[in-house]
Amino acid sequence: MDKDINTSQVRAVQYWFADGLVELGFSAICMLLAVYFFILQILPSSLGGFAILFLLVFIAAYGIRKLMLIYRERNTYPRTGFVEPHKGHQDRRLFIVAVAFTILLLGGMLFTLLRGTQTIAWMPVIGGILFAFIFSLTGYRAKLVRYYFLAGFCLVLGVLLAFMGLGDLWGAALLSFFTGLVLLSFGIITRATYLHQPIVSLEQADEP
Amino acid sequence: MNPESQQTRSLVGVDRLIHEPSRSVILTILSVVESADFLYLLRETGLTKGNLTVHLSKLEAAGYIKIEKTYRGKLPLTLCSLTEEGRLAFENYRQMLRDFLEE
Repeated sequence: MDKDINTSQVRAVQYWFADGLVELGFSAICMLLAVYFFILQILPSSLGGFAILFLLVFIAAYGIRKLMLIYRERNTYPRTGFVEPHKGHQDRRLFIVAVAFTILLLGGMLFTLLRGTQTIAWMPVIGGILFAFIFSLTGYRAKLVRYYFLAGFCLVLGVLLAFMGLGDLWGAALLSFFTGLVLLSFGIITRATYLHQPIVSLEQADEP
Repeated sequence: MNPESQQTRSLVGVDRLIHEPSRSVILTILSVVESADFLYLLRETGLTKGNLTVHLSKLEAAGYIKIEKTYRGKLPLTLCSLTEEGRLAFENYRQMLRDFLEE
C-alpha cells in the first residue's frame, strides 16, 4: 500500500516531464548558450560585452520558459489535465546546496574565462559538471533515468572537450551544442510518445 | 491487552474516509502537487466522472480538499488542492499504515 502511494506520488511529480516540453525548452536554452559562447569566441573580449550577452541569453531563456508554459497550457493541459507543481522549495537543504553549487561553478567559469590562456581549458569541464549536477538533481527528484544518462553524457563530454585542446569558449560552445542536441532528441521522443497516448476527454460519456 | 490486539486496534482507528482506495489515490496525488484539475485526477484514478465527483465531494465535505471552479481562457477548470487539515490527516494515515506494516 505504502509502495503504491509512493508510485502515485512519483507519477504526479513526473507529469511535469511527461510531454517532453522541458527537454525541448532546455535544448533551446543550450543552443542559445552555444551561440553565446560562439559569439564570445569571435568578438574581442571585454567584460561589458560578456555581461550584456549574458543578460540577453538570460532574458531569452526566460522567454523560452514563458513560451513553454503558454504552449503547455494550450496543448498539454486540455489533453491530459492541469497540474501545478509545488510552489517554493520542498527540500530547503537540497535547494541551498544546489544554489551554492551553481554559484561556485559559475564563479569558476568566469574566473577561468578572465584568466586567459592555460594549458587545459577548464570551462568545458566546469560546464559539464554544472549540467551533470542539474540533470542528476532532476533525475533524483523526478526518478527519471534518462536524466542520469544526460548527466553522465555531459560529464564525459566536458572532460573530453577540455583535453582536446579546443580552448575554453569553443569547448563550452560545443558542450552546450551537443547537450542541446541530445536534449532535443530526448524531447522529440518524449513528445511523440506523449502525443500517441489515448486522450480522456471531459466531453465523453460518463458510463460505457 | 496483548501486542497483537493492540496492533489490530491501531488499524481499526484508521481514517476510513482516506482508507477507501480511490480517495487515498486522490489524496496521494494532491499531496505532492500544489493543485490538480479534474481531468488529471480522472486519468490517474481511472474512475468515471460521476464516481470521481462523489469522492471529491466527500473529501471536500470533510475539509480535506479545496475545490475551486475557474476558467482557463474559455474552458472551465476544476482545480483541487489539499488543505492543511487534509495534509495532516493524510500524513497521519500513512504513518499508521507504516507502523502497522512494520510491527
